Amino acid sequence: MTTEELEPLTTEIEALIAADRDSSPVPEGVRQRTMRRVEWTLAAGPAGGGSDGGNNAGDGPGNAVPDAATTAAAGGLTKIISVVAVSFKKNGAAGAGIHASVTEHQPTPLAPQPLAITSITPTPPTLIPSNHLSPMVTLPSRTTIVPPNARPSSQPIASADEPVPERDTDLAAERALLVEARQAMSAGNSAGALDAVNRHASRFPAGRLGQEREVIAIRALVAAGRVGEARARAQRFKTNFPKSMALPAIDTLLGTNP
Amino acid sequence: MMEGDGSTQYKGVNHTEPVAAAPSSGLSPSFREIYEAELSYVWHTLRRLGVRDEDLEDLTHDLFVAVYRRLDDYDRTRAIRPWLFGFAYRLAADYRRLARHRREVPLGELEPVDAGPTMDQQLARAHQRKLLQLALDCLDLNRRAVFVMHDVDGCSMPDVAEVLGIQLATGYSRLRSARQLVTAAVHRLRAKGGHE
Repeated sequence: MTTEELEPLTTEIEALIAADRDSSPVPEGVRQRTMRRVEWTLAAGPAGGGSDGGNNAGDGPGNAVPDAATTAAAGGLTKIISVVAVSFKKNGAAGAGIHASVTEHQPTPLAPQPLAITSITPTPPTLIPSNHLSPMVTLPSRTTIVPPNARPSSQPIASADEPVPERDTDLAAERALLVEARQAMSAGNSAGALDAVNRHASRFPAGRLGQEREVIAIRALVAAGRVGEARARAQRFKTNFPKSMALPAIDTLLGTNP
Repeated sequence: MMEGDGSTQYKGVNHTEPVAAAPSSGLSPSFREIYEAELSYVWHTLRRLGVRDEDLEDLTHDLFVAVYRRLDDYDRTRAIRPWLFGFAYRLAADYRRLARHRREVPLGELEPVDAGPTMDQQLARAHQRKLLQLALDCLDLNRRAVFVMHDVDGCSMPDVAEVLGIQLATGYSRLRSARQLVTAAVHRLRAKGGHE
């Protein structure tokens, strides 16, 4: 069968499609909020261990569709970030910094924050009430986007049909240390924050929350007045994570924005 | 502004023209450009694939996170929207696998759409959009994706088949049945509403 052999669309259906194409653009507030959430998620590093190294759709012919790209619903911290972002949305605090504490029955909206280093620091997960979970966060803890025409991979690809993986204790331990660091920062205790991130670096030198850790460390060093060390650490961060969404925030923090 | 008019122009990236440059380091400017230019397309594509309004923001977020992570795989000599559609299709598939998101709406249970006399053209178009959405809800995702990509987005069938990973003949077959089902659903809905 070819296009010529298909019955053409009726004018009635064409009119409906034309109306649908004329849909309104996404509201500016949603546009900004969604971009901010994307930045938060990416700043937190690969989700659920990532699968970027998985399939090789890029080797395929033509315009290969995305292969095995992970979603923000994948795993631990990213999921939490989504929860926090949704909590903000539900509390009418669109655009608020994610660093702020989220508590049940938040009495007042959180003040909007500029997109700075603080805005990529997730809220401690222990503060998120379970009844604030959006439908999204009940997705399987690892959801993978696999293109329909992706080549088979030697790596297993999780799907929504598979059993939910066991709790990731390493990730939980990583997260706990970073929560401790953030709480210390919130209390003005930069030394405590540095201690926590150093313990994280020691225990998880190749941890999944490495970017998150480094961002906190740089913040803590700046707060402690150790700007030179902060700059050096930021430089290493840029070398190690040249595509990190946190780079503009780090530049802002250090006053090195171009 | 029409999200689907294909007229969006932005530096180096256009859904109908190749991308000139491929930034490979730092905060890729092309990602932001893609986001700004294609957010509405992504949003409405997810909606057309059956994602509920209240979940659109979350799924859009997920999609752009995935896009960012796979940006290096994008062949900048090709149109971007079919590539983005591939993400949307997979996300919608995962989304629909969850029972609570499934919308299997038998025709007989569809609520009528009042497409009757409207106050103005804007309201009439809103009715038309609603009508199409309800009709699309009668399709399974496979047919729905082909219909949306081919008849709404205007992609060629070879592109549709490539993105969805199906044979060309399968694509045509799905499109034909999708058109029939959509047409029948629209007629049924109009009849139930008592309007032309």
